[in-house]
Amino acid sequence: MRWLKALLLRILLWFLGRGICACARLDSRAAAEVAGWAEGQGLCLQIAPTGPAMALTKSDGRLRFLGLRAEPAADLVIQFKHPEGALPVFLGRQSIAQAYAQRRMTMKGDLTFAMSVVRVMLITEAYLFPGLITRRIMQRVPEREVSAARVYLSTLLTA
Amino acid sequence: MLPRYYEFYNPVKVLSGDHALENLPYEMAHLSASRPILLTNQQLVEVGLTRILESALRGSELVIAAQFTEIPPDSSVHVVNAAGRVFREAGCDSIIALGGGSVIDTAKGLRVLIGQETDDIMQYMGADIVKPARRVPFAVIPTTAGTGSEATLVAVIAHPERQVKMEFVSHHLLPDLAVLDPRLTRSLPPRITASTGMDALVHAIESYTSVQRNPLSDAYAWAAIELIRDHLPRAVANGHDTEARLAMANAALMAGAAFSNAMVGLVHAIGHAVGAICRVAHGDAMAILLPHVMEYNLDLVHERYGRLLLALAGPELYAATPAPERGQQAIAVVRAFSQRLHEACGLPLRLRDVGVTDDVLPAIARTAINDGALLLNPKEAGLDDVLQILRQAL
Ligand SMILES: [Fe+2]
Repeated sequence: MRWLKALLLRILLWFLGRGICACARLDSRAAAEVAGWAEGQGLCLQIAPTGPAMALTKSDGRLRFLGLRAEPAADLVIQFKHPEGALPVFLGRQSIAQAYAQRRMTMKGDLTFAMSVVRVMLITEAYLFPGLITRRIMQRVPEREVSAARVYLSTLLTA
Repeated sequence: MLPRYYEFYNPVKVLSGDHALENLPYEMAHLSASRPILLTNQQLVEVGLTRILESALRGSELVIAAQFTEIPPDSSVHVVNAAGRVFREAGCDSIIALGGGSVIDTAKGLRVLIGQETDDIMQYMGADIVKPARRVPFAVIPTTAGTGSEATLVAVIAHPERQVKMEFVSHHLLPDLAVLDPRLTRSLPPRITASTGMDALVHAIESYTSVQRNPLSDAYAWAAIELIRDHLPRAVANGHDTEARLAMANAALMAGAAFSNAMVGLVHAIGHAVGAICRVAHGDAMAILLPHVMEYNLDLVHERYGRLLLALAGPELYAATPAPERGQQAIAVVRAFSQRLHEACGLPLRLRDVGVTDDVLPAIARTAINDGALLLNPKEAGLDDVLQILRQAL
């Protein structure tokens, strides 16, 4: 079961990471957030102690998925303390805020940047998850500017 | 109702009341500390507060090995590094902080610096990153009754070159001892007493309605509100009212313990931004913004605010108010409380009274939505919501 969960987390992290990049291309609000990030500014999401990780960075003005790997030197490293704390978030069963309230993760770096990252993640979740799911964890689900299908397609095809 | 999961931590030993300071040597000895550095600021030295401490320590084994007083109202990484040099050169083994928010934040930064055996605390900023190699005994003697920093896990330290406010959130920042001695807050002027006291009230109210609230933080918040209700007006009216001063020192600590475990919310997110952009004193911003943010939150937490009416106003008004109206009534009580302090000492009630102008509101709002305190506010707030609140508070 443990390896199955680890596999599931890898898949979810892959979708989230590439989904965030897709939203930064297709959604004006996500694009505006990322426009405020500095060149080279990056984020790493990690499941401790030995679990999967993914990293994103802004290079040449675009947000890029660096793959399923840890980037300990990223400007912001969000590390879940264990897989059980991470799964509900990546499955859309729990909001980032609730996970933070339950102190499920540590955040290394600039917490101001973290707020911008959280907003981009909320927008991304609004595309990746059906409204039925997001309405349960968000008070105000961001409206989709383009279809979820377009975001999915871009997530799958564009690196 | 219990949260599905929560954590609570408050290891601070509290020494509260008569001759609390005289107990410090005994407690420090039990922490194996014999050569503390004393952090304070020049103003507090001039008012004579360090003299009170020195005379309390006279004849004891505890020797202040070094004193560091160059702490400005907004602490920075340079101040922490300078204190670190003094600490290391004098061979200190522990920290005593005597002062308000900035002195205590500096002390927390120093504890990270020494505890991590580093020269750069910036790599430890964030939430739950600190993991000290060395334990540095740490006592705090607050000289204001508001920040509650003597019982919190947070510190904010500016890094001027990188233009960031470094935020540290870690239970390793919690002091070992908090010394609440009424002799130290006696000289606080009424206006600052009111403003810092309102900060404590906001800590309690925001933690009571936070996403992270839990039964233990609730208990601390509740106790703090009752103490503030009864004693803040007294402490403002008469600074030498020892009972009121001590009650406020306790209330600030309890409210600190509450928000250390439940976090604050939108009042703080906006208040930090108002402070950063318009140099408004933290407590003033808190007092001004509190009722407006409560109005904003009301539809989602009217039941919680309704309960708070009992703590804020006492049983008579609570019982006389029909349940559906209690939340709104709690806000009215908060407004009346600020009004009373305004009449007693000039506590500001509007942003324009503290020099905020209409044209800077958008900049304040943009800063506010990047404040971590926003994350755990019971009601989500975006740029437009914050702007609306600011306009109402102007
Ligand atoms: Fe505060």
